[in-house]
Amino acid sequence: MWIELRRNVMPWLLPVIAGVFWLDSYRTTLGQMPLWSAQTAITIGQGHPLIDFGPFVTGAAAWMGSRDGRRGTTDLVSVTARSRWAGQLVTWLATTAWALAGYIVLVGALYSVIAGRVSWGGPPWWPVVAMGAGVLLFSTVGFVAGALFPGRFVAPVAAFGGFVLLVMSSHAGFSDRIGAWSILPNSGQGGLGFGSGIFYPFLADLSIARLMALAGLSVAALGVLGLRSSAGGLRRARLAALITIGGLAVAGTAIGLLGTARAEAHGVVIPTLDGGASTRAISYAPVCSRGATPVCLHPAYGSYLPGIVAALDPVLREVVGLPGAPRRVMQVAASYGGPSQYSTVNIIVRTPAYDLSLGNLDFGPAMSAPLEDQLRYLFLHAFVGAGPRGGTSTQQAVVAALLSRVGVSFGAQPRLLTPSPSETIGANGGLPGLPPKNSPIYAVAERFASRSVAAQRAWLSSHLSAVRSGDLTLDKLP
Amino acid sequence: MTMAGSREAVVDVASANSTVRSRRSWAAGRLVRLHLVSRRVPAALAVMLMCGAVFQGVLRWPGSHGSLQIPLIIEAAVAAIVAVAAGSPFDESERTTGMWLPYLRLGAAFGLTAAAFAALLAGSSGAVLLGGTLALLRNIAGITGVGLIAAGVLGAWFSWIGPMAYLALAEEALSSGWHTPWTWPTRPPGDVGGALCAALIFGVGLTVIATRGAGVTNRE
Repeated sequence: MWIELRRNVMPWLLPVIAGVFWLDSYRTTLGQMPLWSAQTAITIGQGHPLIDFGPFVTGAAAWMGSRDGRRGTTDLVSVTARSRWAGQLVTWLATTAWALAGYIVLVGALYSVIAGRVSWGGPPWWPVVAMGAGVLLFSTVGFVAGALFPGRFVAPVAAFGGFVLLVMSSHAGFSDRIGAWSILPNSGQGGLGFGSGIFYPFLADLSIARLMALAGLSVAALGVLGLRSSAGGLRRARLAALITIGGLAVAGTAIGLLGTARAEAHGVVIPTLDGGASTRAISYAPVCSRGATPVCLHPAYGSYLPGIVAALDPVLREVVGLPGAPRRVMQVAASYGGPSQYSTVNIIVRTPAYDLSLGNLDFGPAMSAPLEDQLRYLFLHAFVGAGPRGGTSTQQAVVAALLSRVGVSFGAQPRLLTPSPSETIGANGGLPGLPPKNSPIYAVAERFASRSVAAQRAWLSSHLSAVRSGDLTLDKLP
Repeated sequence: MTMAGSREAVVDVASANSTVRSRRSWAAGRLVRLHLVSRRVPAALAVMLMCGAVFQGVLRWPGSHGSLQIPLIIEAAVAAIVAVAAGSPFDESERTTGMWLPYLRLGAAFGLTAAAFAALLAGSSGAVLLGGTLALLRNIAGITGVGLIAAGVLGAWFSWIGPMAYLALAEEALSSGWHTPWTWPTRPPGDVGGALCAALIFGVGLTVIATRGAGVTNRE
């Protein structure tokens, strides 16, 4: 074993993997909110470390697995005291040990850096374990491929083939369907929502099922090696057959469980594995602003309270006293499977409170002006009862008029929801863009806004219910 | 010596010259064939054909529509095959052979690159290839150059690490919106800067392989 560890090619690839890891996984955490969920939702949730490790590990393992075949020493090692299968398992073990050691070191370093930045939530460990099983699988499959097809081309074919599989899994995972494609930890979001560890505990169902599937497939692949006639005697062949069948049974069970997975508000739930965690919430004492309409946030977002209040205060003052105006604004968790999953804000009217789900907002050291205006738009959008399709023309005109009163000019409004990398609200929130700049809605809104404040409020007091129900046409707006 | 004798001598020399020429051309052909067989070129061509088939499947897969990522992986894969095929099974002893070795290496690398391009071009027939033929040629040539340089440094057996590392860089460039010409897969098909960089790297790679050959390593 010591000789296999020393003579292994895997440690020579670890510096290259570390470079790719820094480029891909580490840099993705930069600029995210200082919460465990925000820092890891994209990196760990989308399996970036597995994408960084997988291809290199597969290629190196294939090279090590093909050693005897390439050197023409198969017959030589077959007559040793130990069976060839046992010898191959030692080589596999050394190769995989190096790969997993590198994985643990790099992910551990990443978590250490994140721990220094964040203040809320806890590190999600289950996705890390599931990805470790992914590294194990890629190492095993690569080794077996090399042992079965020795040659100089097996390493690059295995490495790039693994890369294709990983990227296809990533692409497939972002469809709505959660199923057998979810087997690889880089498929989809991994059950990590931005509320995980903050509002609700992280659900480990998906990670556990993946761990079972990947470990089962790895065991089955190792068993296949032992089925070859050169591996040893009949007894070893029977043992190998049992191991292969057992591994396939475990993997099949896990894949069957993955087929029952569904995305719910707190993450991906597999009913058989769910122990009631999907309905539990983490209790907390919100931090609230003072004022006529308090804004309450989870303490994890407490540092952003002044910015949120500054953003919402102007619009709250505009609507105070009008029918349906909120008495408070409460932050709620972004729903895992809903439109506010990734990077959005969502304001939902539950009179007398408005629910505010903040998702993953890249506030930076302070709220930016575009983000403030976007929050104001979303508030007014909810206030007039406009739905996900943008609302009626009348609703849009009222929103435009009220927005102009809080400092967002008519000229700036069409570009208000133009996505930027860190402030994407409309595109991911399911809200369509605002009316284009030459829309007649702005002319009507401008006419309405030119009236006195008292006249506007009087008209809104008597017509808001009609505006919200969609019964009022644009020409009815004064 | 009679005139008849001199005529016989001329005929003998002429036939001897043609015999020598035919033997030389036969020897040259045999040399090229043995060189290609020693580099496992037939197996490399078979793998490239397989990559071409996978390329066709990937381009037709709905999940990859509009994506440059997956086709780029396969382009890098065939480039890695070219680089790995540059390895000699004779190591240092081959360097003591005659003067034709650099030309054989150059020809084999260039020919395999052309074969890789042809395989993927055939694999893209009937499917939508983002960037078109020019981008395909640029990407394959450039990444092959990376692989050949890696072969000169790391040895042919591990030269696939070069294209794989470059692929990781290119994928990151695609997702992050970098536009340096050194990450030519991110550049538009007709972009001169990207094409020049790719051609330069390809040229350097060919030069390294032709003059130095793939590096020798005994590390397992």
